[in-house]
Amino acid sequence: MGAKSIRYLGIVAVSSALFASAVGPARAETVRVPSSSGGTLTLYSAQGYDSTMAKAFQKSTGNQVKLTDDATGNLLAKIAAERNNPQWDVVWFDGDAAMQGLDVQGQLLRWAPANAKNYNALGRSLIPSDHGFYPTAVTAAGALVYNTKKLTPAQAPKDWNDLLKPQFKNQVAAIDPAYSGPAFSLIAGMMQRKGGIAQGQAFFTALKGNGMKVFQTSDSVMNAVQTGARLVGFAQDSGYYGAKSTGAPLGIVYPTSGVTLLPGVIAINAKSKHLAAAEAFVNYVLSQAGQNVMIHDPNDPDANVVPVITGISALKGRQVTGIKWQRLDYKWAASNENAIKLWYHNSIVQ
Amino acid sequence: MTATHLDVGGDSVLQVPGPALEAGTGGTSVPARFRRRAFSVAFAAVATLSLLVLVLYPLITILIQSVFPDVFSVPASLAPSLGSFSRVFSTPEVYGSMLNTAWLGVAVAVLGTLVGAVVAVLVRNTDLPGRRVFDGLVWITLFTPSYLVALAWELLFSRGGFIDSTIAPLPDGVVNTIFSPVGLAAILTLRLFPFSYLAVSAALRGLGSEYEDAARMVGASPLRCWLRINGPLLAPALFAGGLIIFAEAISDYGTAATIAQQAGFNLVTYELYAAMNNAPVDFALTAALALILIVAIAVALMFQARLLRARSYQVITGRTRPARRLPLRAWRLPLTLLMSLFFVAALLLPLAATLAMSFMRNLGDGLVASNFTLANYQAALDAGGEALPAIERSAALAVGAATLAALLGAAVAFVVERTRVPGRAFLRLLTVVTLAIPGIVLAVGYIFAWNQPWMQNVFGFTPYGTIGLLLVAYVAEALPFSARLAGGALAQVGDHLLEAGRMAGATTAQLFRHIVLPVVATALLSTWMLNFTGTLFELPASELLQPAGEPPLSVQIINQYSHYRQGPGTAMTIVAIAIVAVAALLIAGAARAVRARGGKTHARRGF
Repeated sequence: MGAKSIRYLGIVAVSSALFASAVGPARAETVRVPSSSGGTLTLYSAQGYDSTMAKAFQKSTGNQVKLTDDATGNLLAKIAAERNNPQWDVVWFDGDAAMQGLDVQGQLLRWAPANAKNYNALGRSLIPSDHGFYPTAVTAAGALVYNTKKLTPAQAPKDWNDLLKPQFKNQVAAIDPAYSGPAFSLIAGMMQRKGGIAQGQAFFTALKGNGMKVFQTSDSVMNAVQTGARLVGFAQDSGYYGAKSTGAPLGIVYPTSGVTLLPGVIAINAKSKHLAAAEAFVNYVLSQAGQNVMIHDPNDPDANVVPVITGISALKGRQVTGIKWQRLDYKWAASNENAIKLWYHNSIVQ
Repeated sequence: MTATHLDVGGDSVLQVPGPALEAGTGGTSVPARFRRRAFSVAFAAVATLSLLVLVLYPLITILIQSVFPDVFSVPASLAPSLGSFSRVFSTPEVYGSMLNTAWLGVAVAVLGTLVGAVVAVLVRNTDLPGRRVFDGLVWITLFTPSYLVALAWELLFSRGGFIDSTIAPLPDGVVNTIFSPVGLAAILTLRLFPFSYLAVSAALRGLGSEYEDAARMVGASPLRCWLRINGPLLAPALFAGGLIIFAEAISDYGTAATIAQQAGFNLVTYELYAAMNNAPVDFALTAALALILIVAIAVALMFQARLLRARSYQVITGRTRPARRLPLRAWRLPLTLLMSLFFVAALLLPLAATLAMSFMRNLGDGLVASNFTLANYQAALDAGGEALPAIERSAALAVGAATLAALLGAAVAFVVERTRVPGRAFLRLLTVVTLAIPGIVLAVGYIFAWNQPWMQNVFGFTPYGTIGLLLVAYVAEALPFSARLAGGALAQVGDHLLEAGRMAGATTAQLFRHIVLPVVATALLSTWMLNFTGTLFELPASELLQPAGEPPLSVQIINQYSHYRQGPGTAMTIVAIAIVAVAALLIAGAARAVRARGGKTHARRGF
């Protein structure tokens, strides 16, 4: 066996060692110690401010947070695939309909956080009766954004029905619930306002007849509006304020017939092995300290929310009054979610 | 003179196995033969086990849910149901997506094969100027991840995108053509033609000029020689390349999610993704659609086998006379221009757009001095931020996965091409079929496979959620393709060389070490590079299997894009591309060193 053979064996040995260490339990973070006395919790979140919040929580309480930040759809897929052995402790995203789905499957812990006493009237009104999840902030699922270079405030639409007018032919950008969390709340809320699924379908069909085009997310809609591809579009308002703060030529309209309120919601896994840490995290999010961390996250457009906790004020420039909020009947929405999404996909997106 | 089988990229299913290493020859002692057999068996065991455990087992855990939808539910149930298939065939947009996918797959396979073959002949067998540069450009195209190209094209050509808002308003015709099934096929062709290029290039190297010389002597023109002799001899290579392109096209998610959606052209991969991303999650439908993709590739395989069985494609070996270079004469300049334009569209445009956007504050403000910023790079490289640790993490994972997949792939290819281990045909089939399975399906299979509650008791930990399992998933995703590339290189090892070695009394280990390894070394390096790049930008497994608190770079990039923070997103992409470029330079150096040392071993695989 020559020197070259030895070198070859060396490569094999190193790779095998690599492989063994890769799949082996050697790494500290792979060891999961069942414990209910705090320590480390795993957070699945789609919120832009989750990372800042996790760091502040760690600093304030000494608990560790392992964060998986991903789109709501991917988090739902992970949670579904993990059902017989869940790895998450806390889940946090926008939209009570999807959260209600997890709740009816019995996946969420029903409990009463101490800091629920901090809720303002808006916040209290959003707590589900079974206490399976809690609101953390509020945004509008879909307001109307328009290009301020091409439309004056007077020319901008005032209400949803204005989008059917000839001046907005081929100029409206909508969002796709297959990509965007808020999109489903917007669509279901519109149907509820119009008086039912059939009436809502008629309205969306009319919009499509006027050349409305479906983009993926609020952000892609705002990009289309900002660059002039479309004059107006549907967007989650927190995203709008974020884009506005970077100087984008955009304006916002809260339609007079109402906008669907979209709560950020947080919940604990009913099978969590780190209950104490998980409960501490939710309580921290609902505290004034936690809310200030969230709202003043400098890098994050998602932080432009309407607070649900007393003593907290929204960011400067964010409209909190003069908005006609509409509560989505999320139980009705959750039970019709598949049918509505399927219809929207077949009849409006395609 | 020995006739051998022309094998290209190791794909032709009709291939007659060459002499197997373990087949003992007369004159060796029984213990030597026993040792040889033990070596082969151990090798085959590692290769087979790695495919079964890393690829087949996770795939089964997801595919089985198409007929047993509640096998992993709480409570679990083995009640069979065909509901998923009835949902497929009763929902118009789902079965419509199957027709669209079939149409697109065939169109891209045909177009991509032709383009790849023409480019290969121009680069390998003519006096086209800049041949080496074009060869390098093909490799770079192959290394570029599809979702980045799709995103770049979308940002470039969409209404209100980069060109529309910064250079000149795009006419409706352009936008509507790009975001149409035709534009989609064109973009996928630009992305996937390198597979045909590689297969045809390998075949051209083995072609020789003997038949052509004979024809020329009896007065045939060069063009006629190409049409009647060389062209038909390349048929297996064309089919092999076309098959991979078909498999890649029907399983591509990057374009399905971006351009296809904008074109209103619904594809199976999109339906499959939507089924598992909408509440309530429907894994049974995901599994049924994945099975349909597998059936599609199986049909393509049978079709290919039937076409190739009709005639013989043997060439004369020896490689003493390299194929003749076709003089292009008056066609030199126009063809060079055409090739340059082609690579501008396939490569330069998307890369340049990404680079430009990485220096822009706000896309809507266009290409003006006041919109220039370095802040995106500061964010990407901020020591206290989250991007830098992700870059380091992903680079380490990519090195590990590239190395393991290249070695395991070579082992699998060795078993399939050069041994007579029972079941090797199944392994070969598995490596082809898995090419057609979208990464997202394998990734979700990994959750079901490696998050079983009993694993805590048996292994002492749950593999899912560890960075180790993410590495293993990366290896699994790279393994089928690594095996195919290594198979192509192994096919270049002449049987006569192995026979000569065996006659001289070499053991299997010696044959492998002194004959096989030098020949496949440069191919292994290319495979390593492909795996490294693929892993660095890998998305589906990265998203679903990321350890909590340790996100890979690709997830961070796509999160930036999906929040429409194109500035930081494109800056991170450019940083990742710079890492790839450095790795490519190192690998190219290594390949040159191998070639310089072992030029005599026919290791002429280009890089």
